[in-house]
Amino acid sequence: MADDRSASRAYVSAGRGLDALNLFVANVQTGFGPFVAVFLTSLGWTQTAIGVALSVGTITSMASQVPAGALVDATSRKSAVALFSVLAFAASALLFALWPTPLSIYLAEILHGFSSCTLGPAIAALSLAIAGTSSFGARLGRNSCFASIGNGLGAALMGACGYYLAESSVFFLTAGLAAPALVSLLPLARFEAARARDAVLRNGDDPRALDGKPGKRVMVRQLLADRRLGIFALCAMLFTLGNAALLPLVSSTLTKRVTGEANLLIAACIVLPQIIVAVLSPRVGRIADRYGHRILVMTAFSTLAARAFLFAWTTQPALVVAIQALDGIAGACFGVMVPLVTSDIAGRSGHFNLCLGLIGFAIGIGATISTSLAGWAADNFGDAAAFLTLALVAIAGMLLAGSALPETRPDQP
Amino acid sequence: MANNCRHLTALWLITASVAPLSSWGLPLADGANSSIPALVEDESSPPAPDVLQPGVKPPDKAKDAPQPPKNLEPLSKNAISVLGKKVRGPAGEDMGRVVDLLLDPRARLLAVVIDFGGFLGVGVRKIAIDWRLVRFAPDDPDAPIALTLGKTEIQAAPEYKEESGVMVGPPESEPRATR
Repeated sequence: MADDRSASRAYVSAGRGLDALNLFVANVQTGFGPFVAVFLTSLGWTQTAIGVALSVGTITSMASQVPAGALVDATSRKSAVALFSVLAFAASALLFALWPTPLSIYLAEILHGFSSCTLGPAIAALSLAIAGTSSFGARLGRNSCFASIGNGLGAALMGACGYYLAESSVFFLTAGLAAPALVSLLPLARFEAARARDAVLRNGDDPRALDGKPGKRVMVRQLLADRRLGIFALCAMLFTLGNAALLPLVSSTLTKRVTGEANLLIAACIVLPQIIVAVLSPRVGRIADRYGHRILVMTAFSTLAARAFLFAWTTQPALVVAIQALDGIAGACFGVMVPLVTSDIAGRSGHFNLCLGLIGFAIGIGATISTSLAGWAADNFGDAAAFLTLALVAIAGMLLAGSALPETRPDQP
Repeated sequence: MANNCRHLTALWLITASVAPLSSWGLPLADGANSSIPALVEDESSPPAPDVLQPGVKPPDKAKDAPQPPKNLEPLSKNAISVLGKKVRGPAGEDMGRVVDLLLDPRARLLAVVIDFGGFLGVGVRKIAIDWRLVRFAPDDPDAPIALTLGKTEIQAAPEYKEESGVMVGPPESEPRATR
């Protein structure tokens, strides 16, 4: 039937749109993060003022994780949410580059903090709609692959911009990269509109049930009482707690030890794991769909623990870069497992993104504690002790996942 | 998501303890960036009179609006802003940026704190360096401060912290008490 063929074409182009969206959005995100501090320093901001600006962003994103998830659940047009998020990124980057007064920097941090909370769930929801439950893992693997290509390219591109041009060029590039991200949203918007039309035609149903079959909406309270959600949130928190401070800490040991261009080695430490994630995550997605999800959560924890132990053992520059490959393995597993296990738990409750927001909140807490925990351990007991502490956190997470987290993958139909 | 948070949080915790809310209004170093009119306006705008003088009747606005001080003098053209400026090494290499200047109780410069190393902000460390090791380069407005030490001589220094600060002093061969 011609209809079928056009439908499958719509799927293919929506899938390609999703690939491109992940690629460019990751690019766009790279310019924010630690570089903001460098940029504001170059404008003569004091360290205190920079801390305030960054904490405005952190607090915003912590506070908006759960509401943003609920917002994405409530809307039927996830692509519109993605559109506004990307526009907000671009606006935020332009505020940084063009009008770096305190007030507009705070505004930019708030815009960025909030929209990074809406974009992730929107992409996950679109992926679920396009791939369906049975191949969601494979789709997430593909997302993660393109996102890490974007991350790696973005870091290289922006590093070069910051080095050879003015610092503000990084933000112009960031804003510019929002354009292809917006273009990649077009097939997704078309796909969504078609899906909504179909659903209405078919059974006059609430088009909110994107896959055409309206799931029964479960009470939020019921979902929150699900033990698996709490345990997985704790796992996500522990993973980030063990992971977030590793790269900054090891990079800072590199600047102490490496004669010559330490920044190139740090760049390698950032880009190499992204390459590994790009190669591995499609495989991780397929393994997840075939062999289950818990095993990959365990893999993420064990590679994280191994990496932290190895850093405690050596900070030999060449070895450090090699050990960073483990970051790619853990990152691929964790990156795919967060939305996947969350979707297992949320099921067809209609609260997938709310749950994703909760997990995001747990991740935010983990990241917050991680840098201060590692910093404290490094100051008082040395770098090796800090790495060991993070390794122990990873082992605690592995034990938790091993003992309390059941296999969440739903039985295959 | 985690990527965004990981580096912000350390600063956040530091700031939360160091900076009272009042510092929100003063996020920039004085004159460090003259292209920011909003701040300048803030400083010259009239403060709320009844906050400054509790119990005193608010004066007539048109008459008693604060006037600029009478003793204004032109600022020397040679005045040099340093915060956020680049720091160069002995061979002109990029050593980072000035983030702070440390003074002793008699207002003599003790040390310069620079942001050193890193890639896109990852792995950056603050290092304090004895002011005696600074070669002032007033002719270069982008990098008015240069160091007589190179990267290899300062890179192993521990991070500068306000509570337990150490700084990179002159090499051992030089007498320490030259000040």
